[in-house]
Amino acid sequence: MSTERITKKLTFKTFRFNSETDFLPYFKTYEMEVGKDELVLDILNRIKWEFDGSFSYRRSCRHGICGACAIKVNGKPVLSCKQNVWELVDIFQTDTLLLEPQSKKRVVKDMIIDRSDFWKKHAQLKPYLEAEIDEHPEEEIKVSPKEAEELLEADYCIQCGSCYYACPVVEVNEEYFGPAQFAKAYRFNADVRDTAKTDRLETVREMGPGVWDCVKCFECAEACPKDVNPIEKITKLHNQLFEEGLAQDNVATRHAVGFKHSIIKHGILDEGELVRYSEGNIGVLKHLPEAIAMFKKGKIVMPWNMPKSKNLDEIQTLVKSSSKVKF
Amino acid sequence: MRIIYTDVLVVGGGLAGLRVATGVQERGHRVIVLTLVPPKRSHSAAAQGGMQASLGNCAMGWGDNEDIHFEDTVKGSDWGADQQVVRMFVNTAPKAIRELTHYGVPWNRVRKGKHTAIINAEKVEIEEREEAHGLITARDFGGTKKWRTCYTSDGTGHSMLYAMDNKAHENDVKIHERMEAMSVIHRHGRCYGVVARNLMTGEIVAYIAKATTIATGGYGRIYEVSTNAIICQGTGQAIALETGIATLGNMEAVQFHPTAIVPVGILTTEGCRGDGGILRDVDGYRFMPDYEPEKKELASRDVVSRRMIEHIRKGKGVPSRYGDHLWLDITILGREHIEKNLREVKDICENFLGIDPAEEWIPVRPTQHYSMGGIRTKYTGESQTLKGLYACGEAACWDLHGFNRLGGNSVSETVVSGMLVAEYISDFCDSPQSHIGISTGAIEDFVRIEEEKIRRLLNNDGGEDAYVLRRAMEKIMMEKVGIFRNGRDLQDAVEQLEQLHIRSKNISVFRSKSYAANPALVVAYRTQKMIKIALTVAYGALLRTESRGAHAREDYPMRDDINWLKRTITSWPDPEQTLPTVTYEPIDILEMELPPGWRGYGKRNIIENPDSMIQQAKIDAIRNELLARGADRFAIQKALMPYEHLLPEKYRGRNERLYERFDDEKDEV
Ligand SMILES: Cc1cc2nc3c(=O)[nH]c(=O)nc-3n(C[C@H](O)[C@H](O)[C@H](O)COP(=O)(O)OP(=O)(O)OC[C@H]3O[C@@H](n4cnc5c(N)ncnc54)[C@H](O)[C@@H]3O)c2cc1C
Ligand code: SF4
Ligand code: SF4
Ligand code: FES
Repeated sequence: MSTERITKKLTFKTFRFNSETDFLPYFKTYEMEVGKDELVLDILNRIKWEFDGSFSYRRSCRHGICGACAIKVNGKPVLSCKQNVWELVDIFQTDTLLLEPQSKKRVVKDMIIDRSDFWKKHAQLKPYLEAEIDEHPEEEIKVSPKEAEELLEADYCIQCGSCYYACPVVEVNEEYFGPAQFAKAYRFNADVRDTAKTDRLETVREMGPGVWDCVKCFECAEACPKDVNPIEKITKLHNQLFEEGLAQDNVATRHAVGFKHSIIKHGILDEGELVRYSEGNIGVLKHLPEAIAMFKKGKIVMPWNMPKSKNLDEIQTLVKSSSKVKF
Repeated sequence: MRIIYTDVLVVGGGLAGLRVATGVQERGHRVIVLTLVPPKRSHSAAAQGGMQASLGNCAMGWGDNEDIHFEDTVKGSDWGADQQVVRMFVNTAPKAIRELTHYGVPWNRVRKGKHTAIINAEKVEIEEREEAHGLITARDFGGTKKWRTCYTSDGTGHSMLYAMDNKAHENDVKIHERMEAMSVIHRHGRCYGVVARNLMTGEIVAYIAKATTIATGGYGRIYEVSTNAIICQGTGQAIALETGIATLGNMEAVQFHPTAIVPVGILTTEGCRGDGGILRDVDGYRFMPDYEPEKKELASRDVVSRRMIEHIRKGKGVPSRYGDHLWLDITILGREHIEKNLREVKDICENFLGIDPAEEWIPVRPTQHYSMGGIRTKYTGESQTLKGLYACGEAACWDLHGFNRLGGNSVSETVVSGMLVAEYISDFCDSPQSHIGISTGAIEDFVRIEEEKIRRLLNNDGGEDAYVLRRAMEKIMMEKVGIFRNGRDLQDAVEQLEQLHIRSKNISVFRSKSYAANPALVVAYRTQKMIKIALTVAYGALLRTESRGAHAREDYPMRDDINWLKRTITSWPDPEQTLPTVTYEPIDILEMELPPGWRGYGKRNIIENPDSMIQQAKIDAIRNELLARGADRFAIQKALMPYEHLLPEKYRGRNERLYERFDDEKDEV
């Protein structure tokens, strides 16, 4: 057995800030030899153990299930316990990596941010099953496997916040619920046992905080370490709004209706439409080229571009139900 | 000084803690939950494989019931469990799972018709009943006679914890996050709450309550490699121990899970083997049938782990940079099954090993996984010695698991014990005994002690480095208190840990002197506690000169039912003593419903107690007589070992199943 070990010398520019004592944040640089199987979390640990015991970050399960350890590296949202360092070196073609918290304006200390806005918005969407509970359930509720599958991946969300703090709308619009929150709303709305669907739809249809303000940039789908694909769930909420006749006459719904020709014709939205859709939302505009570039690289798949048999149906339902709405 | 009063204080926001909290709140008591992390980040989220409850819906679970679940659990425990507690548990588990369904857990369901499964490395066709369509299904797990482990793919803990936490949200349960319990407040043998430290601000707060529950999970992190989260450090057990009054039970009973990936020790669920995965050695040979012809890969965890190590010692391990390992082969299950039911495993393999488990074998090795030991309680969850202090979940030892826990019984236990303990606590709070009789001055003393400890750690210059002590402790536990143990290593371990304990009194915080969010400070005081816990484990293991369940002594390979059918009880009455005090609590065979025998797997190495035969004869006689009189299984069970009276009234009812309905009078003969 050979015991050779190859390492790379890497530089980590690390965001440091203590809201109690520091007036301004600063970057501190740590250099390390990093092995092939080291993860971002290993680097955070090493900063704490080898350089500075006060360096703060969150982690617990260290295998991608508790959602505590999400940060950004060179702007890319990652779960630090799952993200391999060499892979990042590969992606970014650099030996210098920038370690930053998910959102700099919410920093409490170093990598730790105050996620209370994330949790608070989550709580507003009734993130629980509303169903009559029998105190002594002697019989089970039946849910057919097909119905159970309706939840799709929405139940896998670990609330790491990666999508939320990557979402350009959250960045500019404080009231916007956010992708994880919508995915959660969808998760309960899709549950046959639940009885609060209408309530949730009435909340998510609001202009400003609601689903119509999503600019379909796909950042959330890209950021999610659990393949929850929030944007797809947002589309499904749009769908439910039309189906339940709860879509109100507003700019966005009209826009959605206007899209239908484009969708039928091309199967995808064209970029021009997308830009117009988000007009007025300047912070978002600057983000679009990236999203589109990513789409072109094939990194993100439009939900309506997925295997035809499944998604064409869905588009057609959307189109059909949106056509029923009179504006 | 800040004092916060409430009726019930729950330390720990995992499955167990949350279920206690919602339970007592529904009974009308004010409750506060303290937790290190937001509840959804608790380690319960990591449970993958499933939850045991004898629903008997799927074809391979057909005919399952409480009796079989009882028998499996007692055998799994190697007769260490409290059989009345096991009975309470198996009767409540089906209720718990049905309740969780109402809370929103999307259990995998039975699909009517034929499907194929892999059993004993062969494709088998199974037909599910029409009437079971849409009911909760189950998978196979180690040490069980029926397919009884209910699941949501391999994210069971995640789904359960989210449902439970959402429920707590809905009920507006008060959760105080980033609050760490530092010590238990008590006076005259009565517990009144805890002193807690705010991990962000460093503030020390006193929480005063009529009843305090510790539901802080296991202590796996005293080992260098463990499947447990970083926060599973045993601080809950430590603060109970430090009262000098509360006791810990069976701390040496530590479970090693057969299949954690090498080297990082992340778990691949028992569901892998339950669904048909097999173990292979360096030659690609499937070795388990040679050792365990009956249960093969699905013997209980302690047995499979030991067999794996035995096999590695025979030179059949796969050498690697990180030591020898074996292979877990799930390629035979097929990609579709893996992507649907073992997604987390697939994700872990891809991320941490860079392999595709549908194509390649997974390198695995037995790794520390579960703490059977914990705060010793009565069946009500209350400490046997400190009134008003309760414990449940993995943190406790009410003793469901004895010396080995069955897979799937733990998440089940968290919820069941949460349900039950919430009722007992509520009864206690409703009684006049729950009166809070402690003065502000006395509370202040407890707060001062903690503040002083922190100050000492920060002001101490040139003392010991906590990181160094912790690494040393982890290594000792790994090397000397592992799967196979022996007197010489254990003696060494105890002596070295004792030295570490003495040195830990002189820890300095070097790197940062801040009182607020200061990870170095946290490492310092937790290390002191962890070393004590490590000592209770190592010392208990040294003294127990037999092999039972997960505790395997190479120098005492027999299970000794004459001398060692007893629980280890550990306490630390004098803060100055450097070793814990160990006593024993006997387990009476003559009160058992299932007297000791062979488990049906593992080695037949037993020093039998003559009482076992006497009790078995007595049981056979009663059973035969009742059967002759046409009694049903409930009547027989009741005659053998009554337990229903111990359950809270609302959980006493029977569980209906597809094949077992109780349309009329529920009363027995
Ligand atoms: C990888 C893995 C997979 C598993 N899979 C299964 C499975 O498939 N089936 C099964 O039955 N079991 C499984 N288990 C075991 C099971 O998950 C745990 O035993 C169980 O979830 C423990 O739940 P708990 O509520 O007791 O504790 P935890 O969920 O560990 O919660 C502990 C809580 O206590 C808090 N806490 C800790 N210390 C303090 C303190 N000092 N002050 C304040 N708060 C504190 C924490 O913040 C946390 O909220 C698995 C375990 C692991 C490690
Ligand atoms: S697709 Fe919508 S929700 Fe997702 S990141 Fe973009 S704007 Fe936010
Ligand atoms: S949807 Fe994905 S990225 Fe967003 S919080 Fe959930 S797991 Fe994280
Ligand atoms: S540490 Fe839990 S997700 Fe990374």
